[in-house]
Amino acid sequence: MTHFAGLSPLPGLAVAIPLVVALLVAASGRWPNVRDAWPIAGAALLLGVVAAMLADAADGVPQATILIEVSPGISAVLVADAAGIMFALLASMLWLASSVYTIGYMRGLGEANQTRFSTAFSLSIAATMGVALAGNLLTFVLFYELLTLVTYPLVVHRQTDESIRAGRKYLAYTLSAGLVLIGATAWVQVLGIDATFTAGGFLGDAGLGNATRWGLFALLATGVSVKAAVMPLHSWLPSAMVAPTPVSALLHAVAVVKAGVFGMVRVVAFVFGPALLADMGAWVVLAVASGTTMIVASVLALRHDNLKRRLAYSTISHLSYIVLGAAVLGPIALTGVLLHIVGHGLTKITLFFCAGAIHVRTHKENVSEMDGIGWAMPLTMGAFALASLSLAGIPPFVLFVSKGYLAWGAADSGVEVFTVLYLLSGVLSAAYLFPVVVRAFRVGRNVVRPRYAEADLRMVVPLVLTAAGALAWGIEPDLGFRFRELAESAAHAVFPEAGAIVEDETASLVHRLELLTAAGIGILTAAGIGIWLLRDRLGEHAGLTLGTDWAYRQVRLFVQAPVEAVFTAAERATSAVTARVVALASGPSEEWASVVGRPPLGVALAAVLLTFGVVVVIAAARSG
Amino acid sequence: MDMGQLPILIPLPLFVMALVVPLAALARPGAAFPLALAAAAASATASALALAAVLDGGPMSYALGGWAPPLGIEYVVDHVAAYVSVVVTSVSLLVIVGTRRWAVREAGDRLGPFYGLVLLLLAGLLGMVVTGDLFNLFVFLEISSLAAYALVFMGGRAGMVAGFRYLVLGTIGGALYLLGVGFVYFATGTLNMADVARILEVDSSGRAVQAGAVLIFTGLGIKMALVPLHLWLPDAYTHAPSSVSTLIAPVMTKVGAYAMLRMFLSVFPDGYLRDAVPVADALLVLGLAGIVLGSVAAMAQTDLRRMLAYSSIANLAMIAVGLGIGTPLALVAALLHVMNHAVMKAALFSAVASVRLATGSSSVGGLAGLGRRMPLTMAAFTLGAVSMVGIPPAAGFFSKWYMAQAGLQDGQWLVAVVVLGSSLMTAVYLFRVLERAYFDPPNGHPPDGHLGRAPLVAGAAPDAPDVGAAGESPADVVLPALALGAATIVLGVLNVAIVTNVLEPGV
Repeated sequence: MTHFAGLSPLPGLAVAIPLVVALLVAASGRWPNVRDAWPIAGAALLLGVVAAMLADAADGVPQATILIEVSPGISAVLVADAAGIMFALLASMLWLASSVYTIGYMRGLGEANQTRFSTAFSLSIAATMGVALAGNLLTFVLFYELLTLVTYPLVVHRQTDESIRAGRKYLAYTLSAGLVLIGATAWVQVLGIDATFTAGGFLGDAGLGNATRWGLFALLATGVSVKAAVMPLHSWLPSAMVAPTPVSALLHAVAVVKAGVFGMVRVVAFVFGPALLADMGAWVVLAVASGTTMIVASVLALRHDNLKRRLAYSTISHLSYIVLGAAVLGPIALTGVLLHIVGHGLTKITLFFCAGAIHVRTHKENVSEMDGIGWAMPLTMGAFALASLSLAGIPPFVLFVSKGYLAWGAADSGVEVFTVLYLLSGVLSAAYLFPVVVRAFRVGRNVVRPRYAEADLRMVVPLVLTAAGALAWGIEPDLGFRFRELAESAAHAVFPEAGAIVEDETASLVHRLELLTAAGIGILTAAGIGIWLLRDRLGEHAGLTLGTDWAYRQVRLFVQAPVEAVFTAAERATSAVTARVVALASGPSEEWASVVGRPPLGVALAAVLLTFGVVVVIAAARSG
Repeated sequence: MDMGQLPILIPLPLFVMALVVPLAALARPGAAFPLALAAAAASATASALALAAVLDGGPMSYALGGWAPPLGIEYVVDHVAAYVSVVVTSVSLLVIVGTRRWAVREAGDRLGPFYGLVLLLLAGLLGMVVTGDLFNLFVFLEISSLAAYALVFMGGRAGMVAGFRYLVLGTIGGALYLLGVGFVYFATGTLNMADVARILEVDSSGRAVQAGAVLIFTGLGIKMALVPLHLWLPDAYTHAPSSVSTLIAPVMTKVGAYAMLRMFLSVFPDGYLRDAVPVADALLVLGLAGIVLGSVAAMAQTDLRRMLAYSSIANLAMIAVGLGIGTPLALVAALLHVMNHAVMKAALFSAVASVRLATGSSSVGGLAGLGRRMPLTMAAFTLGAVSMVGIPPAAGFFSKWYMAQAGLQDGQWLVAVVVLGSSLMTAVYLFRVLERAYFDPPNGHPPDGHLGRAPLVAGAAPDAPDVGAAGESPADVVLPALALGAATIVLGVLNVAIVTNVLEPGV
């Protein structure tokens, strides 16, 4: 990122547009239709602005905006490099989808305080854009902190005890993480290192001592891991699911958590650089944490009957796919990482949209209540089915492509064990999502096939489109926004030495993936036609449903029980600490207040004498 | 106008009007406020001009009555003095405007003496800022303190008790300072700061200088509410009239800290207060302790003013830490925090005063639903709170940012940890307030049928006052608070200009 295509107002505009939208929304609270139109217009405009920076980013000569000097010698800089543009594209695209969806959801439920909600929502997008396009560490940290602040009102939006508690937990985790990052940034600054994000890292040439580089690594990795929900720093995320579903969908599946994993990509590839991390061996730490998280979170997803919670654990698992991919420290895996950020965003937002649509239409939140719901809401559950296939990494969906890169990249870098983990986690993804689909289309002796009752169009259209996106970008990742090209461009910048060999390998990988995709299209089409033809008989076929349930129970029994036992113990230990912090934050107690109350005047005088005396004694001792 | 007159022109209008206002108010009570405002405005203008002149032509000095220093009293305005006086005068100006209604309510028919005392207080503070003379500093210290005692006494019975404690401890502080100056005078034979510095530069080995340094430290330590010398502060800020606490909380202790900084910069030789007398270490240790204890105590409070008072102790402690580290970066951080904290604490206290004006309560529990009923007041509070927590781009973030750097640069890990950790503690007590104001329905009808839950905040007991009817405070109360709140963002964004132009040349 050393050379810019030149200064341009566009990156600044990308942050400014949602900011202006937030102001307009706040100002037009009295006219709900006007208010709700602003985000749609703003998101479309933002998408255009981001897309306009795409070509330069893919060519490796990003556009940049220098905002203001925030600390002597350090300016807030926005740089639209390939990696940043991918994240910005994802966020703006899905902001468009969710701003339509939000109208249907919030009005459908008659939620209060919609203006505040929508204002904070737009502000969150502004902060996300800042995180995506930040050109140096301080700028990143500034926007990362802002993101915490502006998403807080969204988490507590419902204003119930539960959401207020979730909000406190959220702040406790994310503010601490922000402080850790601020500390790390200050440290880098004190070391006199220019903290401009550089492909391949800027700490590699700084000649740091072992303690310093491990210290910085610990701070930076911890700071971004909280939003990336890497265990054991994840527990804010399932709690934050009390927020309205559009928040869970866009922020806790796309913007906030992706800011965390994107931060991890920045830390690994643009701050430390693969060479330094390989030298330190620090990637092992990341790999162990994220590999464990990936599997454990998948298993935990199995146990949750509440659909949003199940999706939350699925998110935790998939975020760790990304962190694990970053820990591979290879060009192919890094391409996969960036593609997975986009692909998972598209897929997971679809799933959340579906969960929200079901909630608005039927007020059902638990999987066990959703028997046969697919017949009532075929479009919603159809999209859900497609997204489930994508999440399980089945061709021809977008997460198949990214997972192909990740698994292949891991094998290519000689860590085949990661490949195994990816495949295992894919199986688990299928295990926690497919039963939902099967149940939804189940019709048996005890289940009456409900009448058609699809959700509001403003909810259905966005979710169908995002599901279609997950399919379309799976078949052709370069469609429209050239995601694969951007990801490869970013990866090549980070690994310049890999060069031609990698290009050959990538070409062969792409070839194989295309073959598999083609096969996937064929099989899926055949299966689709088959299911359609046999739709009535399949639904009534008790064996299918029971078989799925049986398999689900077996997985729970054999995989979940041991993992859960360990995990519950660990969670209990960490939540005891959290509970203490939360209790402290919950409010002052009268007896505690009296401890720090009003000591008598004599105590005050004694304090004066004591202070004076101690200083005198020390002074006397020093001067001999 | 001759720019050389500016040092005396900063406190002079306040002194003159402090005498004029009570007399004028005898004839026309309504004249007190405009006259006081005019005096504060004149002083603010002089400060701004002085800052401009210093930035342009360097420090300037003025010999009082034409008596040349070191015999006569010298007034010196350098970068730091001009900066602090701009901060003090501009914040006070906004506070005086914003608390007029409180003054009318609290001072009743004694508006004349009230504004006289307010002006005297400010005159004393600004005198401390511009003087270049150790004894003259004591005089101004006592002027401002006596005015402050009298103002705190106006807060009813509780104010009397609080004021008495304040008076006892404050007088001890002043006496210790005077004693210390006496020792220094004994050793050097002069009271002019620059002259003392010259003489001590040559020889500072005497016991008298040492004793003087310790006494001065302890005296000023009381004035700047250094833990454990802070015990006067929480009661004084809580029980003083609203019009008074809003004024003294942001500016008064800062000037104590400024006087302490003067001792480092302009009186004692470089490193003396570090090596020969452990003043720097004491400031560092007590500062770190103060940050933690002040924040923890603030968490325990149910009354907003008391919470903010303890928060002031923690923030003053951070300034003390900066002085204790003593590197240029640390001093920049400390001075930046002088301004940032003055502005944000003024915003918070103004907002609380506005809340009390409308609802009659300043308990955390009484805030429920105020986000909707008093949106502007709570916006001011929110801006102040966000800045206090230290979320960029608010001003409070940058003082912590520089302070953490200063600590790391000096190898003081604990400083960075405590300073950043204090953000979290601040978040605990301030976000609780915001939560209450914005996300808690006003007494009674919470959504989703969770009536009868245990109150989230102690003090939100059923007897919390009914704010059902409360609306937004009048514009002259809200706008100054809002201006102060907005200033936290503006000053944060512009921090580099202040740091590089004003503070770095100053230290």
